[in-house]
Amino acid sequence: MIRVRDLRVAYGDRVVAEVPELDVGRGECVAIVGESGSGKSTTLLALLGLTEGARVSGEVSVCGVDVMKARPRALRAVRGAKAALVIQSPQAALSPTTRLGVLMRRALRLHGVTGGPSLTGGAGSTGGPGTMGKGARGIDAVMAQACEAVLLDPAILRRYPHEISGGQAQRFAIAMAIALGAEVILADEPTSALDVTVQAEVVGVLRGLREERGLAVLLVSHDLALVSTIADRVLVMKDGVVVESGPARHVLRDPDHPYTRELLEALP
Amino acid sequence: MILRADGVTLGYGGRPVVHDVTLDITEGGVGLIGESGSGKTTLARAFLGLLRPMSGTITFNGKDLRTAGMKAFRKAVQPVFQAESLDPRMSVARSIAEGSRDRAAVPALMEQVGLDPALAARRPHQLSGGQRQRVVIARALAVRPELLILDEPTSALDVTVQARILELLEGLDAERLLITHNLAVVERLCRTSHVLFAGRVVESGPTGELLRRPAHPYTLALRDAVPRLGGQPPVARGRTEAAPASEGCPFRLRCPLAVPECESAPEPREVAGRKVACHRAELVLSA
Repeated sequence: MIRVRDLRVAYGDRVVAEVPELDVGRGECVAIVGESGSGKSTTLLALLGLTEGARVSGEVSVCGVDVMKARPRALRAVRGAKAALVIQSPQAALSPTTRLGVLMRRALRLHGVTGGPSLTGGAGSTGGPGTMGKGARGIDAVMAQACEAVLLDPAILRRYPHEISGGQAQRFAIAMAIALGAEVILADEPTSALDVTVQAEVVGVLRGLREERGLAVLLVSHDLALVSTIADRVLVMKDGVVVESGPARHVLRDPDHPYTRELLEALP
Repeated sequence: MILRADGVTLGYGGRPVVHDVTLDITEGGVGLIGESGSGKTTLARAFLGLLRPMSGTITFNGKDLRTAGMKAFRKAVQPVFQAESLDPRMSVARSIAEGSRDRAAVPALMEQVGLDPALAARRPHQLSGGQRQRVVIARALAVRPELLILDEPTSALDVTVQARILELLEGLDAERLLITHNLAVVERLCRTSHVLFAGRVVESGPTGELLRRPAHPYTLALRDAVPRLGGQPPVARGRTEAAPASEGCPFRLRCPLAVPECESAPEPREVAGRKVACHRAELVLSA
């Protein structure tokens, strides 16, 4: 689902991320770990062609699309629909005056998800409390199923972004990805702003999607303990360079690189 | 013990958010653990004399805070918040000496917290996150406090930086009240801990015991939600979305062990060497 070879991202003369090799297959979870400024988020953004102003070279393929050469239209199909980006605080990215159901419906329409033939009349409606489940059954069913897949009550679609908690917002962002039929989830510190109990829920959701739906997950995190419980493989980055990579069990239990050892020893 | 809360209820605009809390700040570090909105920071503000209790008393060396000499109190009890609390316009030296008005002591203080005194003229934006946090600690130490009230002092830092700040905090003479949601940090810095849920202390006791064998279902949920290196994936117990119950046990709507009895508020009681407010404590302990 994700294939990266010799990726190099530079701003001016400064190389901020260099990744020789990164592969994420169906149902796999690969994590990039490192400290602030290590280049982990830059790598993630480069996968979606979102590193504006940077010089990017190498090969990047996401869901079969060559991100480096793709036309804007093809790139738009990857962003959001095939590969969903889940960020630390999605609430800030949700329009505060729009109900969640309307937001999700808009995203679905934008990416041409119709939810089947029974959609007529429903997709064009503005959503809101009265319109759920009436004449828009196809798309409503897609939306409800997506919510249920992340353990959210579909009634949440009638709420505004400020009426939901951080954990709910994070799961809503993942639900949106599911409704759009995403095959890849790119998650940048998806749980660092959450309480541990809520974090456990979100992690459970991500694990479930991977195991049951075969989603590929690329996780960027500074939390090595968390990564050790969900990732199959790990890349450790420092100052823009991958210093160590391999199976999570090996890298996080018996690291070869002194920096990885330092990170592990620093855990309280 | 220098600070004590006795039946303290705190709130904003007449609405209580912390209910009837009794706790001592004893030697060896005291931790306040709980999730966002549990009232930990509100309680810390009251301990700093920044918020008056709606009822109950806070005493400082045996004197009610309302009548105690605030000058001595402000020196004795110092806050250490996240590094964002630094004034962006002030140099490191000015920030550190702001309270003590003793510029001459600045280089020694900087060395004590592991900062190069050559950084004295810098402003916060010219420092890294870890350096800024050290400035905040040096500023608190400048007035030789008896107690530090630390509110999430390391949560914005990278693990390697966090480890160095924790070492620094462990080595200080001052007593500490630590507010955090990071259980590993509490375990390291605090001998005693109090777990808050919805503004109520639900379990109190020795930190190690509390986290090894929780007696309250909320403490258990917290502990099992923490990912451990190479351990099992974190477990979500109960429904985290459910709002705290306004009557009876505040945790009952989330609690997987709730029974009809939980509709009456549990009184804190002694169970297995700690104080716990739960009708089902014995069951949790045996789990």
